[in-house]
Amino acid sequence: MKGLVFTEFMELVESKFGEDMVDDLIDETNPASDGAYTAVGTYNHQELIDMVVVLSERVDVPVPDLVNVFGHHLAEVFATKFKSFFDESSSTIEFLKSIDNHIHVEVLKLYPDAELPEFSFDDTNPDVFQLNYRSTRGFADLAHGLIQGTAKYYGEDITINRVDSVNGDHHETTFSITHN
Amino acid sequence: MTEDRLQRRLQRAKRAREEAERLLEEKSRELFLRNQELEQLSKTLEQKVLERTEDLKRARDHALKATQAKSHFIANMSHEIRTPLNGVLGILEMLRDKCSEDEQQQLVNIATRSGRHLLQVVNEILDFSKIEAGELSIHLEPVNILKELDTVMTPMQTVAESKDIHLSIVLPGQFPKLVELDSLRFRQIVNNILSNAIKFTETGTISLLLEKIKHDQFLLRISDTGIGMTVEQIDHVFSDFVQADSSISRKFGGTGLGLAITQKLVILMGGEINVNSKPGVGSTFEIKLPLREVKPKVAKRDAPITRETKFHPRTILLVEDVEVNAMISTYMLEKAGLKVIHCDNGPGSIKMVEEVNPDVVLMDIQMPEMDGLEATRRIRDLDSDKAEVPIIAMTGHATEEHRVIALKAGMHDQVNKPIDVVDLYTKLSRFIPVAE
Repeated sequence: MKGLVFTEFMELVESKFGEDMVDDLIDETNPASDGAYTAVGTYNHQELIDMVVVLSERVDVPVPDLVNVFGHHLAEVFATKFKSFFDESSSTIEFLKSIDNHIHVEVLKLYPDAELPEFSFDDTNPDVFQLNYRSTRGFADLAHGLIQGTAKYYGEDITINRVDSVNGDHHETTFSITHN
Repeated sequence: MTEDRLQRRLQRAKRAREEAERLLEEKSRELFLRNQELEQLSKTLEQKVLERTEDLKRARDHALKATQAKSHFIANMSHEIRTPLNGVLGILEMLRDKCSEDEQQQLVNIATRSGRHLLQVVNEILDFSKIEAGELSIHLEPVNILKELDTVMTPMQTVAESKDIHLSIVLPGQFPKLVELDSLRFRQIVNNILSNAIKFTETGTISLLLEKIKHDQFLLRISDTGIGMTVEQIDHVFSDFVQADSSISRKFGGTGLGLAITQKLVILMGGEINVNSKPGVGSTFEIKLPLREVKPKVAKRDAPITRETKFHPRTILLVEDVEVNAMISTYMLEKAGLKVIHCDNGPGSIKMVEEVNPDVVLMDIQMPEMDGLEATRRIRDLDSDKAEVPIIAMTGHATEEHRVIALKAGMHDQVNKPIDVVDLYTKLSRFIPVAE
């Protein structure tokens, strides 16, 4: 997983729960990287999962809720750091459509070793946009938060219904998005 | 906060920084190598572009040279074919006058027609190669279009009548008496279309319509009631070397260049040509050409020049090294009442001009020892009024380019070989009065 996700997670923990919480998470999970994350590095995603689980126990907030909040935060960070991708689209749905065949294509040019989740969509129903998430890591909650954060960026009020399933090694989630 | 925690945070930050620096270094190296690869690729590409450009240049030069060689060859061949044709047609001309019996006359006429046809084929090929090489230019002069049409139509009248075709000309309105036009090329265009119309019409009518359709444009429409063409045939009618179908060339003959040349000439003259046709009904060719009206000057009316024209008895110095050509030209000149003095070389002709004081010199161009151009220059340099004698070139190089060279050398005009009697008499009539 890209280092940016780790450094942003650490930033978020530090700002919400203080610097000591960051130290506690590292002490308790004892990651292989020793928690010395840089935005341009690549680290095992399990380190993030371990830290989220410990955080959930410490602050007594369910893991999915924590990850969802992190998704919101990450959407804001992306919109600032990679503004051009957001400028190219004029709505949430347009942006979501461009992830797989444009944004991830560009990401892979910079980081050929990046392992990215797959996104496909179905826009045949004009009222409900379907986004399909597929990944071996099961970060659908993060994707959920990212979609909500993206809608916030474009100033749209949306409702998301999701259906999760596991298919072999892959976690699959269908997000059905409607505008309110 | 314990000292230990602070220490560990510091260590973490340090390691993160070192990791970031390592990754940065790695990326920098990668970028440097990629950059080198790109530079190398760019150099290779530049080299390749240079090589390709050089190859293309060579190929273009080669193609240009080949085209020039071809044009040159065709021009030469045309000259080579014209020279003996001059002999054939000239002798036939003599024979026609000497034959007493109708049957012999008939045979001579057939042979003459065949010879003229061959000449036309040679001319078409020469024209085509010149147009292709972009060397054919248009020469405007004041022309009486009706007279030009008459010149083209008169010899065709007989053929038309023999096939039971009614050949007519229609003038729906006023048409300017004189317009600026390349008369030679205009006649060629009309001749090509009209002879096709006669060729492909068994019976019925062929009509020519001449009309001023705009202040600066006129229309010439030639319609026939002939075999006509299908849509597919119309598509190819102006293509080079193409006849409506291959059976046409077997049945009707021709190079397949006539209409291709016609179209190119019309375009060169700033006009357009279109065709409408229906199989079994007939064809209509419409030519639109720029109309440049010329205000007629006070016309001086001469009797028309014909094969039978006679001149006042004057002396012609005929400079010609080929015996058969000299024989033919002498015959043509004497028949018109002129006295001929023959000289077979360039230097001799200069001396003769001084001694004989001829009224006109007919000068062959291509001669061994001294060619006609050089002889002309030397005559022009003579220190007496004999230097002004009218000189007419006689040449098988029937191109405008050669005509210009002849005029530059000091000649007044040019007669092309094979010599056309009427053309020769017409050009002579500039300098020698015609007997009434």
